[in-house]
This record gives sequence, C-alpha cells and structure tokens, in this order.
Amino acid sequence: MKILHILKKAPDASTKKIIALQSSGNEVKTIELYKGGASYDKLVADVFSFDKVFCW
Amino acid sequence: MATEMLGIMVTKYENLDHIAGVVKAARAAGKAVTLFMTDEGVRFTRDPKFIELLKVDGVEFSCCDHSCERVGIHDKTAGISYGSQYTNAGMLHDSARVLVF
Amino acid sequence: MGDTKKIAVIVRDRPAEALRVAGGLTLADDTIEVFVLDKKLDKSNAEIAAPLELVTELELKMYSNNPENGYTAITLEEMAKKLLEYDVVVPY
Repeated sequence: MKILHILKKAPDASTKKIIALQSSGNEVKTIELYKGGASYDKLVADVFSFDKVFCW
Repeated sequence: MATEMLGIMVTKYENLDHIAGVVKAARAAGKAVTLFMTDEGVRFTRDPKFIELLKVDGVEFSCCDHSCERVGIHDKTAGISYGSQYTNAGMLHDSARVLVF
Repeated sequence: MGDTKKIAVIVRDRPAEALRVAGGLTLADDTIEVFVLDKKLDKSNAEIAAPLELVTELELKMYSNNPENGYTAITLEEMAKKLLEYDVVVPY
C-alpha cells in the first residue's frame, strides 16, 4: 500500500511512531511542509496517486 | 469519467500559503476543489489574502456558520457559502481525496 | 450520496471541536469512528461533555491508547495499522 503523510508541523512522538509503524510493509512517503520548498504540483499528484493520505 | 474532487478541510487559521498552493495546483491538474472552513479556520473568511483565493475558478468555498458565531465573525463574505457540518460531511463523502489544514 | 465511506477522526489537542466534527460527519450517512490519541479527555469540561454526549448518543465507536479514557483499548501499533482501513482520516 502507498501511504502519504503530509506534515504541517514537526511531528510529535506519536505521529512519528505511527509513520514508522506504517513504513513496515508499505511504501511510505513523507512531505514536510513545515520545512518549506514543497512543490504543490507534485504534492497534488501524490495525493491522488497514493492509496492513503494523512495530514498531521 | 467524472472529475475527481479534492476536499480541503481547514480547521486552523494557519498555513494560508500551503492552502493557496494546493488549491491552485489542484485546479491546474484539472481537479474539482471544495474547501470547507470550520473552527478557527473560519477566520480566513475575513482575511484579505484568503479572499484573493476566491477568484480561482472551479473552487467551492464554504464554512461553518456555528464556528463563525463562536469566534465572533458576524459579517458574511460574498463567494463563500455559510452552512453547517452537513456541508463538511458531504464534502468528505464526495471527495476522492481529503486534506486537512 | 452513494457508497458509504469509513472515516476516522483522531482527537488530539482540540477535543471539543474534534468530537463536534465527528458527530457532524455522520450527516452524510458515512461510518465515523473516533480515536482519542494519548490524552485523557476531561469529561468534566462542559465544552467537551456536550459533543461527547452527542457522539455517545450516535453510538460512534471510540478507541483510545489511553486506558484512562475507558474506550475500546488500542495500542499505538494497532492504531497505526487500523487507520489504514479508513477512506478518510481527520487528525484534529
């Protein structure tokens, strides 16, 4: 399963752990919006091509 | 095939640059976009920078009237529909993907 | 509105609004389930008690990794896996 995590701010411990746990056996991508420099075109393409999307 | 819809739920009065970037990118990609503001997110309804976003074609803007009352916003902005959480429920139901800001 | 969706609302730092939104999301006849993450809900707080009563009346399934909440117990490991069952996840 392809899972996209979009981080609006630095993740807390539980968020980090959930992402880490889901990384086992899945294709996980994290977009760190809070760090700046994101390509919104790429983000939108990812949002529609991944199976699951989380916004933290 | 019907156009895929992106739902954007805005719950905080933050991240305007990201919201605007995503809205414009989604429209450029040919996606329908619906944006619902609730909680502190309704403060955008009176934000001139956000109101600029209403000019983007193909985007439906709505917000929670109850949240507006709670945060003390009584003036309406043209181009934004004022409704209830029913609108939010419909948006989440009908969207192919949902982002929460 | 078409097929029923499964939607998870994760209650974090704004419990009153998260619960109110969870209750509201039932209006599209989707399946809504609630995950209270980490914190203990302050049920004596009137702002939380009212929407909590709503989700209780609506019989929404509630999970928490904090046993003090008294909801269906779930570990963070189980939650990470279970969240993948939903069409939409709303971290609030």
